[in-house]
Amino acid sequence: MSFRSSVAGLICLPLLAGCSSQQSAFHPTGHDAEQINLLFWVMTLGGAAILALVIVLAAIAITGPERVRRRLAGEGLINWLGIGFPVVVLTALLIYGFVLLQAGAQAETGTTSLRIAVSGEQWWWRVTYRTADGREIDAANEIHLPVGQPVTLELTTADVIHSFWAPSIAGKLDMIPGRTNQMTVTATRPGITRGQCAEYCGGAHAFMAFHVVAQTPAAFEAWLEREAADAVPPQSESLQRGGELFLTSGCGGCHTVRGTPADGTIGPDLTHVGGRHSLAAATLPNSAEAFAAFIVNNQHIKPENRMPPYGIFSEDQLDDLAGYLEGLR
Amino acid sequence: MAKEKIVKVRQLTRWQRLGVASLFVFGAIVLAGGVFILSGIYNIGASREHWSLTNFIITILRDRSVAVASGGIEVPELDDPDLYQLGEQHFLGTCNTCHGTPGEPLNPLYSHMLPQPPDLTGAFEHYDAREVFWVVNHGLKYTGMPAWPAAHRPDEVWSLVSYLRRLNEIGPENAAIEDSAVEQAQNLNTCLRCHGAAGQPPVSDLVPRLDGLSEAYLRRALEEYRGGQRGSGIMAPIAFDMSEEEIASNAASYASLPPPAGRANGAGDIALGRQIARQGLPEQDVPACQSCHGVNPAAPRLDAQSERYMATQLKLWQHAGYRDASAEGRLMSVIGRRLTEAQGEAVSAYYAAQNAEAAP
Repeated sequence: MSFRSSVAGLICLPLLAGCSSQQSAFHPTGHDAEQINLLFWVMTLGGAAILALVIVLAAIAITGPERVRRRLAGEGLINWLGIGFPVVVLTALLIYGFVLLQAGAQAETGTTSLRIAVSGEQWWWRVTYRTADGREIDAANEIHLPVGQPVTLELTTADVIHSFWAPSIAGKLDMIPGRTNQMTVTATRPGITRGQCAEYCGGAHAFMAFHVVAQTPAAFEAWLEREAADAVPPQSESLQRGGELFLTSGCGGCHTVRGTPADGTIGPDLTHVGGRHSLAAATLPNSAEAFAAFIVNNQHIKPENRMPPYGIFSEDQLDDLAGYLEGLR
Repeated sequence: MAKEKIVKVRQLTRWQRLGVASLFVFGAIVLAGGVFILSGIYNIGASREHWSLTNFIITILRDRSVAVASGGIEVPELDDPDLYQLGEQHFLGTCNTCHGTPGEPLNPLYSHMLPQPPDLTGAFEHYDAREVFWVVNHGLKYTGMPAWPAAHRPDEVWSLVSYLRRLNEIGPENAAIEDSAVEQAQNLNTCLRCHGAAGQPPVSDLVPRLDGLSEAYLRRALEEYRGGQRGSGIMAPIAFDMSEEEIASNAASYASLPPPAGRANGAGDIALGRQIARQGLPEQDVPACQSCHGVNPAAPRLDAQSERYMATQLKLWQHAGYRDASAEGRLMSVIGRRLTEAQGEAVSAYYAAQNAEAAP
């Protein structure tokens, strides 16, 4: 990627993000994000009203009639509008903000039935669902939430500092080496939104994003059941060849596909990768073509990512392998 | 007075006069040199020796260049049978074309080169190990001595240096006796010279054991040596001489042999090696070796491979760019870089001991 195109990309990114409600704090679909959105508008509109008042008073002080100007210069106005008003308004806003964001409240532990461990890794998200009955279900790069139920996110990192930010759901929280930061979120509306790493974490930081899928509790339970199950063995002959390639080409050294001998833990769990909404941490759409492109060309698509370039496959082999992966739903 | 002054100003100083004079002399020399070169008087033929003055200057130039350039080279332990036995085979298979078999008369074809390729029994009398290494690695301009035909393979060059040192120590008469077995091998297949006949170990632990490796891998290796994607000054000239058919038949014949038995080894960190081979090192993003090696015929089987050979190869894999000319190389070079030297040695020790015959 040339320097110029990287710069152009950097300039376009915030513009593009502004166009979409998919990743926007102004389109909250979670409890925390709604609070933050409300706080933002109260603060902004309140500030705007005070600014308007100040401008009006200043204008009167300059051009108003003599009688009004004399009253403005009086000590009473200084006492009421200059001291009393700010003390009352700023104190009220501060307390309102504290109460709304529950500042200083201890993170509740063990109160939610579902806990999701999210580990930031250069440059993807390892996601483990921990259910109340003690099951642990590994997945990656996508977070499913049941609407209306509080879920605790346990945020950790495997390497450097990352920051977990799903602006439609909640505020951002850093992932610090050696710490587990907890955040309880509640999705309020079903839908798919996007989040990303909000702390520069090295080369492919810009390609470290994820999707948040908020579902009705029933749909979530059904999804979790499917996610917990082993991969469905490939049915067609070409998909079987793809699965064989996966196992003999070293893929299993880094990736797990439950139900097969592939049990690597270095890269994302691929047991149900075909069912996700994106590839490579929301870098590519989820399609067989995208799988094939990433296998061969991953260092070009997502520079510096830890997967070696796999140029060893013939066209047919690549089609088989990509078809197999896309079929892991 | 005033008139005198003007004259003095026009007069050149002593140094200016000298400068003008040297310009004339320099111009004359350049002119004479040009006339000499263009006239064709100089005899470029190899049939006529250099003038003794030319010889004197060339010798000093050569020795000073070698001495200065070789400073700072680190010399490994040279009294090492693995090194000198491999070096000997390479010498007798390649270098002796021009330098002749030590202690024996030189083929008249090569004795009429100028300079005449020296009998290398005496190499260590004129040069030390560093200097011999530098000459073998870089060659010598205007002499016909080629540079080592692969970059980044000092490990191979040292094998030859070790052999030349030993040749100088024990003398060509003794070396010739040791070579009698080799002379027989010379008549056989080129591969056998170093890699050993069926069931026989290679001539040195620096040489890979090929018995039972997959045909696909052996073929690819020879093709990469031939095409220069895989660097080896020893294998490149050999593979270059092979036809497609020879590559295919050599690969097939080694692939058909039963795999060798490993050798138990108490020295290496076998536990760490086993972990790397079977589970990998997830914290360093190193996948298990056996996720490819042993299950994919395109990747060499590592069981019972020579420990020293494998450790040397893993050291080469630690450098980006030494081996990434092929798709397989690009894949492995990413993983090789993530292993430390000690981890490479541990995994080499582990694989060398695989399928070991029970210790007596």
